[in-house]
Amino acid sequence: MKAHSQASEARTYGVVLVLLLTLTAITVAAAGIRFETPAVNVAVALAIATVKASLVALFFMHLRHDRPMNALVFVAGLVFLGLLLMLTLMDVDHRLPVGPSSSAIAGQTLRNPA
Amino acid sequence: MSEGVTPIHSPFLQHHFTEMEQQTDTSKLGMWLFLVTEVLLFGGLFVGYGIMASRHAEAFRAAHEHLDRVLGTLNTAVLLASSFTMVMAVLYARQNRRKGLILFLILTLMLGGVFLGVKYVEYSHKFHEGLLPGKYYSHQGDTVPGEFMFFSFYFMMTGLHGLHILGGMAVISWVLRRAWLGHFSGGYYAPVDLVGLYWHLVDIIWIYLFPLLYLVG
Repeated sequence: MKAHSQASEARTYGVVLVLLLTLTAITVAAAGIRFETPAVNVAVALAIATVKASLVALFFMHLRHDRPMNALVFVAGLVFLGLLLMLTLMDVDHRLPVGPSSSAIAGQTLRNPA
Repeated sequence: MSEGVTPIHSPFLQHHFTEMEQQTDTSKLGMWLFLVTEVLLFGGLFVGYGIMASRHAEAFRAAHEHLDRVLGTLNTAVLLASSFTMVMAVLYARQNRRKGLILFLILTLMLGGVFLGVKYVEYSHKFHEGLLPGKYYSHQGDTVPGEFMFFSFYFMMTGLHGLHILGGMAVISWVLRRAWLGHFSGGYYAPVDLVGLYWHLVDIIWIYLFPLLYLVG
């Protein structure tokens, strides 16, 4: 652990808080903008949220100066979350519709209209 | 840091560890592993939400208009501020400053209480309007069918998150009591540190919940 002067460390936390609040204001403002598709709004909101989460993890959770093992554990968890998301999407995106009509269209190439 | 010398016989060194540093590193790694299980617990809900929201985009977008953006933004600011007071408590614990530690723990508890208070106002409003999960949904005058799905996710996700805030406040109270009893010093403050990590993770989860539920639907 690095030996910071006490005041500078407290100041760093203060700056991070101001950044987090500013990013919150930006994400609220960005939600009011009408992009071509709402998907852009979602992407912008998630990107800002990820910046905020990184700030919290790096500074408030001390990952910046901590032993790398802890960060590795956390990132591994996020990788598994990504796997969960990807594999679930692959499943539901390529699933045959279930219902009375499914036998009639079985065998055809199917694309989920949604 | 003021003389990080650990007393050789710290009363808080458990017998299966050789020294305080080993004990601290081990407990911290254990905490991070626990946090990963929390990420995956909420992750399942986020994945479910993402799939249903993309499949029923219109219903989710119409439903999220029922949420109060001002209260949601307020609660985001409250929770971010509570993360700041929590990390300050950890800093004061490490610097052996008991009064500051106690003050910032109390501030964190109060901000957690404000968050739950705002949540209570929001929930009562939803209950009143019949915006309830699943079969209890009884809201009149919906323009798009299927809005009840959004509220099933809303209550599951914010409810589980609220329970985590409540749990966090319970462990912060425990740490506060120990701080009051003078247990912590520059050589031993792991409980403050670990409770802080948990509190920040709950904050991170809200950082994603807020835009997804309140802003973009």
